[in-house]
Amino acid sequence: MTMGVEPDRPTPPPAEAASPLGAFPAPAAGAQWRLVARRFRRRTLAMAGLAALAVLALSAVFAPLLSPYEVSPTLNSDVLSQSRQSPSLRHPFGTDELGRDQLTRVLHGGRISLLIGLSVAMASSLIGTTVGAIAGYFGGWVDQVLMRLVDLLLVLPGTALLMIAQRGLGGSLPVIILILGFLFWRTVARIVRGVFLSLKQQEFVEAARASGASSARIIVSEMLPSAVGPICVHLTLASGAAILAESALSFLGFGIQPPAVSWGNMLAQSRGAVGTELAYLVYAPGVAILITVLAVNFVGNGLRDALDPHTRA
Amino acid sequence: MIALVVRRLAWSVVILLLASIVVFIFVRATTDPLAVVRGGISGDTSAPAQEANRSLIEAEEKRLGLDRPLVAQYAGWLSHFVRGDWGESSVSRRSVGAEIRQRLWNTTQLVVWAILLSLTVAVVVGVVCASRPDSMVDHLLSGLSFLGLSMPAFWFALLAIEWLVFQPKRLLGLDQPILFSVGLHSSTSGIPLDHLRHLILPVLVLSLPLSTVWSRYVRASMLDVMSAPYIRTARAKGVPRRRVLLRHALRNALIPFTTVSAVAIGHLFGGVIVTESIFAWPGMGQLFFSALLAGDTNVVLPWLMVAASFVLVLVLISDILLGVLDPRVRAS
Amino acid sequence: MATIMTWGAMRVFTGALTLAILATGCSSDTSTPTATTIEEPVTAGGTLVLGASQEPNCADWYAPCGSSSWGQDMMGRQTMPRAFDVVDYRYRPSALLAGEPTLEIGPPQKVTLRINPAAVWSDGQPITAKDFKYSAEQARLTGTTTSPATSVDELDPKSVVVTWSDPAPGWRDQFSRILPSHLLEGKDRTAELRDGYKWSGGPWIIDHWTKGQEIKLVPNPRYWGKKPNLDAVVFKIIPDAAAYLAAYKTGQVDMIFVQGAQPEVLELKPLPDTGFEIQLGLTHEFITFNTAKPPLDSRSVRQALAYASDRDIIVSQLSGPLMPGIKPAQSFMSPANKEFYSEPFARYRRDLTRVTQLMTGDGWAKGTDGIWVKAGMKATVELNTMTGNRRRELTQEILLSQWKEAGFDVTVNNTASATLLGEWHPRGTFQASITGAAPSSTEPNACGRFCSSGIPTEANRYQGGNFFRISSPELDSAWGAVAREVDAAKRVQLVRQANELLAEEVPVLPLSPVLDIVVFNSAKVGGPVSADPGGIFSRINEWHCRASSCRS
Repeated sequence: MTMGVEPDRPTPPPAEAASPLGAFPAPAAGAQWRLVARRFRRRTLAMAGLAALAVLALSAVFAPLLSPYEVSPTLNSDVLSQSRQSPSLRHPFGTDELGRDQLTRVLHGGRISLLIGLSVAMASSLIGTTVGAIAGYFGGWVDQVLMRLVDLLLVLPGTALLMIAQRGLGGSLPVIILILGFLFWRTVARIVRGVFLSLKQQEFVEAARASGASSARIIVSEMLPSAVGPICVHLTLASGAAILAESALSFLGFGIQPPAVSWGNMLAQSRGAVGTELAYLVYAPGVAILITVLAVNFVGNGLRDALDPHTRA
Repeated sequence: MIALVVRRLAWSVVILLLASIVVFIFVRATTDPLAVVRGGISGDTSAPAQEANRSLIEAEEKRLGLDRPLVAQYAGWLSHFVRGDWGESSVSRRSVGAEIRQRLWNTTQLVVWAILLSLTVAVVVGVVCASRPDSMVDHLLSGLSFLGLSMPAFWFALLAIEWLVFQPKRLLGLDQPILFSVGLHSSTSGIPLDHLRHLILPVLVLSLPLSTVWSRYVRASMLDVMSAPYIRTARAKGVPRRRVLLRHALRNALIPFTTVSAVAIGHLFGGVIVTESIFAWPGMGQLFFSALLAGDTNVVLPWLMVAASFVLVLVLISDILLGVLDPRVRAS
Repeated sequence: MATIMTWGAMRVFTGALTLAILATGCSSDTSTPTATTIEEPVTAGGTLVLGASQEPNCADWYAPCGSSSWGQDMMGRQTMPRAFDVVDYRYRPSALLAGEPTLEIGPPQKVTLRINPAAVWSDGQPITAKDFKYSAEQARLTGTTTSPATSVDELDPKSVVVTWSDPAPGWRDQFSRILPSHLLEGKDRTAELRDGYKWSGGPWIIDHWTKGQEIKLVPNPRYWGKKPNLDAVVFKIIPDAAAYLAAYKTGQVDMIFVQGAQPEVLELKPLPDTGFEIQLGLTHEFITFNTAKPPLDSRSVRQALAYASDRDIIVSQLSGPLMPGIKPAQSFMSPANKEFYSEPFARYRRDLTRVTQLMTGDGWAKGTDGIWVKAGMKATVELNTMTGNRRRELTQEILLSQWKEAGFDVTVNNTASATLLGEWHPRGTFQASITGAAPSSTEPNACGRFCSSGIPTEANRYQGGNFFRISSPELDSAWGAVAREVDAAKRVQLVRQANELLAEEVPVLPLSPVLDIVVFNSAKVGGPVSADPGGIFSRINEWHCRASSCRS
């Protein structure tokens, strides 16, 4: 079986799948990282993506300052009387069925969506790195067992598993992060395992082992630094995939529950608006997801290319 | 070659068996199989009705064998499942096997067209981009594929419904839209054109992630192959560019692609849950969705097994295909 | 569309309807369904495509899997003859009977029914006393009748005498679905009927039922009553709420039936040639407080929550645009149930001073974050409802913001309706939830819900309708009296008293009556279209096709 695939999105980004693992820099010293940074800075799209992400993150954090409206106001007659207003100067994205300003909700929705992206990426990297490192370092039956576990997760449709888990565990934020993270680790586990397998026979590892260093020490301080590059790439791309997965789950009603606002559940709520005068509700949250994931993908690709000296500039 | 297939097949069976254990425990731990029965009981019940309901629940508990230990339940379920007896839906009391067969057929229509469309798009876009790297066309198509893969498929579906169904209907003042967004076909007419009008949108939505990712893949893979020495040799020998691209480069570029696409196709099962729910397409995705909502574990379990088998079979096929295409694999 | 909690999955006890009708007597002001009748010459032929938001699980209407009201409306009523029609909440002998039945009150109670000599099944066999006997037997065996007959005796092939040893006010429902005994006797009924059946004793025959897709009815050529005008009726099954409305918007279906003013329904108003038939239904929505869970075990807290809620604005915001002037339900029933309706809950209008009085009186004090605290415990309430029901989700959001402002910490954990109703409610693992009740009749008795005998426990296998887990001797005796009383006038008084007690205890907070809404393409659908709670498809044989486009 081949490259791990994120839940039901065929997202082994092509170059990642195609690039040979050996192409990643060996133990990256400070100088090499500076080189990577310079190569990254030369990529306009990646830099643009980074800038877009920064803007999105800042506007999510400072959402209360940017908008004169509350995201979840007390729904009294004043607020409710403002319902269903199409976009205007007062409400650039219009108002929803309960009179809440859609722009404010998109800004606040970014908080949860970005938080989910980031936490899922980190959680999955942590699990994946641990599993991959153990499998790659020890090899043998340990490797076999762990990789079969990955295979197992690979044959079951991710969306279905996520929905079953959410049904059993509920739709709170930590639960959603947990179940997404649990499903996203398989890609990074495979990558890290590959790196470790290739490093195992190398001299500096042999040397460390001969000098009596413990396995844990060798894994963490000798071998892991080599895998940092690919892990960072995964971290970036996975956060985009997580945002997409959360939105799809929420859309099906198996994600973050209102009153918490995420872009996914905003879209779920505006689903019936299609084909009616409320259709304006469909655009803003979707565009927000699109921009975020696009930016994340640009950054991820730029990072990968910067780490891989063989790619054409 | 045959040894490889046999080894793979045996391995698939083991994976499937493991998957069944995981799935069984997972589903049992998260859903109460009796909820269906309890949920169907009205709140306004008189004393005799309560007594009847109680025996109803007890009968269902016995029928499902919930009074036995979990291991025995699993063993019982597995032995029936293997013999083709997939049980009855706790909601409709219909044979799950028959239900899945019917749904599978509807889903297959979507999936086959989506794969054909995605493959065509991927190969065309991949080859065009790779033949002129960094040209305007390359940038444009790459940009589009990036857009496509950064977009939630369901949002694309909503936009498609708004702009391909409702807006044309409104603007042209039609009685019925050109493309439909609900169901398999209009009931009154059984003509193929009507079916096509229903098919286009879900196929389009299902193809979006596949075609965009695949075209990125084909492009990258083509570029890799094109820099290989034998291609340069062929070019130097004066073989026409087009011929090098299609005969030599594409064939070799598609080899690693086979396995990737097999897994991706397998995972369409997840994609159809969203797509079929939006377009009210009575296929596997909708079956899973409604069964999960209703807590119908008797359907959810076999469904997951079918989906897992689907992935395994596709991977097996792709392994064999890989052996046919790539002599190195055949030798090993 | 999972609008209604029990709609589609509840056992429909028509017997309760009989009771209610006996009790209401001949009162004339029960809400009379309005029907759009377009005066024009009726044309024959054509096919109408109607949207069905739910599909029955099986077509055996005597089995639990066939308890769907959609299924009975679409197929059952069209193919199985019944002895009594329900018109304007009253039973009338149907065309199946040759005149009024004779009733000896007894005891033993005896009813003599004479069957229309012209009545035949679609295979030409007459509908006989044997069919009545067989059907009554099935009703008794399956518990789908509240007062099973002691014996059914054939006088001659076209008349029967039915005997009950005890008084049986609900006797009429014995004969609401007559089965052909010559086709079913001695066979496995469920197996024969499950996926649809090819015989009929009604105006229509099931042409086919393709699960998950459509049900097609064609006229029964041997029907002995008024034959349908249309060539066929197709029910297109679209369980997804958004797709259901979209199917109407795109013209794929000619009519949809929606329960409750889902916000999107409003958006159908501006569409051309669109008729709306709107009626206050018997269905009503309410908040269930789990009185076994703190802080909801305190009556003062429940009352405070009731005072914290502005129910008027919820109802006017969500249902007002379709029915101006609509008010919240103020007792445990819909205002459509005029005979029994009273307004004890009207005292609960949003009043934050009352909230403060009640909470401080109960020993709570506001913390620094503005949330009520008592003995270190925050006043946290989890308010749930079923996923995907847009109107309830909106109701939930409004309530949540209002409760928050009143000093309650409110969380949400919505789930599928099967989980909420099948797991959380019976097991009591919830605090408060928004659900609805869809009674099939005007019967006001709710002892099953509020008497302590109805509390689900491990011992009774977690069934029983008292999800409130309220146990109060006063409520037990008040609702018990309602259940036993037969006298109409006394019953009205008892129901009022029982609801008054509910308003005092607040295990429940009534929210909104649910609108029954039929949206139809008036350019195509002709005939008596109505949102009649007695069954929207009950007069479908009188409908006709108005446009040439549906004549294919």
